[in-house]
Amino acid sequence: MIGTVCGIIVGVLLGVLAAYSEKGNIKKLDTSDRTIKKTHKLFFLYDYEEEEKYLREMHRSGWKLLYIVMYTYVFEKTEPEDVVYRLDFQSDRSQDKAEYLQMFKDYGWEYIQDINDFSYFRMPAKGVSEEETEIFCDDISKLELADRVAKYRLFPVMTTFTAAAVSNFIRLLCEYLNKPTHSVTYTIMFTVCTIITLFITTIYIMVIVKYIKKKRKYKKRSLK
Amino acid sequence: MDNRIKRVYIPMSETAFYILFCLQQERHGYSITQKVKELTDNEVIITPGTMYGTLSKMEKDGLICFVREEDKRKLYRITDLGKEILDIEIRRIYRLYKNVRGEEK
Repeated sequence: MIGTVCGIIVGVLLGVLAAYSEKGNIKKLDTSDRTIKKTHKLFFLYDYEEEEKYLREMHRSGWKLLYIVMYTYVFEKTEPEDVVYRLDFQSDRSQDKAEYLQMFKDYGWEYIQDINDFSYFRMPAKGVSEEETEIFCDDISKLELADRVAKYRLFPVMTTFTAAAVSNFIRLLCEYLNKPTHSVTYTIMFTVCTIITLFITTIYIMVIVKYIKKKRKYKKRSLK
Repeated sequence: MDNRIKRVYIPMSETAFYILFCLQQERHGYSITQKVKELTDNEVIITPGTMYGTLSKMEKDGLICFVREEDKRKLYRITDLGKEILDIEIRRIYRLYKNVRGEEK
């Protein structure tokens, strides 16, 4: 019983840590002389388009993104401007990073940082055509982006994690049902584990649904 | 030629076609975009995410090869396999064009 509970808790902690482990070089900035605003936002795997919109909206209202750490968005007060933000995901980056970043720079994109293999870029929208504010110019490459995220994040990481949480929970449920009487602590722990498992499963299903929706949208459009 | 290569690249998207077409001369990503803009009167604009993905994919499939590096930019050129694919595509597009013209007469 204790073992199972510990298993679930350690699993959750590991999952949270995995989500938090942020690769890349976050610029250590001296923020003492700046006006800073911090927001906490949770964007899941397939919310990158919503995240792009959010960051653009913030910049438009005078808050320029400095960096992101642990789901905390740190902004600096700036002149309101229409700046487009874009996210790319390249986990199988066999070529070196410098070459990748140079290519985006050539097109006028400023690189901000990497989080979990997502690279953040921005570019002022003024004087640039609508097409040039995109980093993917056809639906095939948008579809490929969704597939890359699935191949390197959704399936290997989230699926394993959710499966582990659910199988642990089933073990716990069997134990619970087999015992005739339950102490208060046991019941509380059981309830907490149930809530955590339900939460993890819900997020997993949400992400899967979003992936399927994205795939459908771009597939339909690329067939036109 | 590998059947998989044929299935993936024929018919080709306009973006992929222009990238392969431009690599008959050695170029890097951004210079391909510039060339395509010039060729299409700014109608076809290839953006960096798509460019990076397409170049990686074509290099992996052996349609293009890395030639050299210049100021952190990788220059590529079409391979014999790439030329074969491009020829098939050009013939296909030419036939399309001929048939369209024929209908108009």
